Amino acid sequence: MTDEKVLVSRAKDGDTEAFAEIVSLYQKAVYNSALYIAKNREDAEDIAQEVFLKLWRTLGSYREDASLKTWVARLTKNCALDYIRDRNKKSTSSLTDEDDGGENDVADEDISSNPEKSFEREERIKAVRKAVENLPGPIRETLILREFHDMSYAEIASALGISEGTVKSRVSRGREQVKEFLKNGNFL
Amino acid sequence: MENKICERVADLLSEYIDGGLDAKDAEFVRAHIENCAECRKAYGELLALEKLFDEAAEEVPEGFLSSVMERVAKEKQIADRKKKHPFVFSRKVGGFAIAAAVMLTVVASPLITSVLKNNVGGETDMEYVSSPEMAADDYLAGDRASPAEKNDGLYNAEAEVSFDGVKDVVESVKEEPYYGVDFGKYYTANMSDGRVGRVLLEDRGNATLEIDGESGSYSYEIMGGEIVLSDENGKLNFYLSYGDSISFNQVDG
Repeated sequence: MTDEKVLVSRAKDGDTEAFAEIVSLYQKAVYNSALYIAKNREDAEDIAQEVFLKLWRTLGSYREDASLKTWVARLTKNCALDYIRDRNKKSTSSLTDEDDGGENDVADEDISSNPEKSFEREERIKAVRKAVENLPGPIRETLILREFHDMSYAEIASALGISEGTVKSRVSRGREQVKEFLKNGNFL
Repeated sequence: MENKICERVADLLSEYIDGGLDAKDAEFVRAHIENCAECRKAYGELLALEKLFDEAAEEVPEGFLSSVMERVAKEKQIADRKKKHPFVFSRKVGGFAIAAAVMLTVVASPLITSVLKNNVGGETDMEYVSSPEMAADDYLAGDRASPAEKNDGLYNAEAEVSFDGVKDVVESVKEEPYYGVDFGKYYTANMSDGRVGRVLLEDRGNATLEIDGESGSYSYEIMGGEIVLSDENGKLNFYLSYGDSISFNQVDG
């Protein structure tokens, strides 16, 4: 794998192939983070696209001593905040209401569209998502960075502007709460 | 005593599976879970949870990468067009006649986004000036500068300058401070504590933030995709929202 710093340097010079490699490296993490905020695939895809566009636009100001992982995480968080702010402006109902007929709702995935996946596995995955969605905001965002962005505690601390001790505490509490939720539903 | 040890291990388990413990603590946890059924069970549950997180991670939708790169390619096209400099003149070559031709050409076409090389004392000096005022400051008395115009994220300013008695026109090019943001314009600033103020970015990295009727001066820089305002008291990080208008939003923490 090409060294990340080399990719960034090439992308800064306008090399779109290098940038495409960067997108490939981070797209899954960004998309899954966005899924937990948006709770539907269409909006999650929009948020994720916006993250990478912002990354492209601001690469010129990227300092090579900074962690790209951290930068991507911050962009993801900020794009997600924009999404929530826009959604709150448009809707007077609660944050959990989605009025798109449920076609894209992650929680209501049509299992028959994935015939090869077992029903039980699908239920487990839905339960994990629900458990994470139910976490308090700061714990959820910390846990998402650990589980989907595969960031170290130090990187998460840097991305969120908190101490490593707080990161450790939030990750531990988040996992415990998800574990309890899943155990109560007999998924663990 | 065992309970206290189990409590300590429970506190460390999460970091243990993340590989974040030092060797001493890692060995402490490893040795304990080997001998304690309860803690071993908790460890097993955490491992199973990690596997579930992996399972729950979705692949990106088909075509995601190509959609992103399509939009990137469009933006790159626009950016590449901005950066073309079709005209480069050497002021000293040919002396006054060339300078006069330059003046006529450039003054007649004020939207040319080229940068003029100034030969002063035989050395080529390419200079970007960030505002007409700076152009006027940096050159000899008698200079005049046109107001800066913004086109496609670039600020163009012209200044008529004099070198050794020869008049010339310098055209300056400066990029906008951040995507879509104008110099010298106030934008709404939404602070993390709920207060709303306004912020202005000036050339040369200076910024003004007004909140609750008070105004503060800062230096600003772009870091990690955010605009960071700094003064002797610390830093304020903002990210930008592009809705009906651009607003600066303070990053919490």
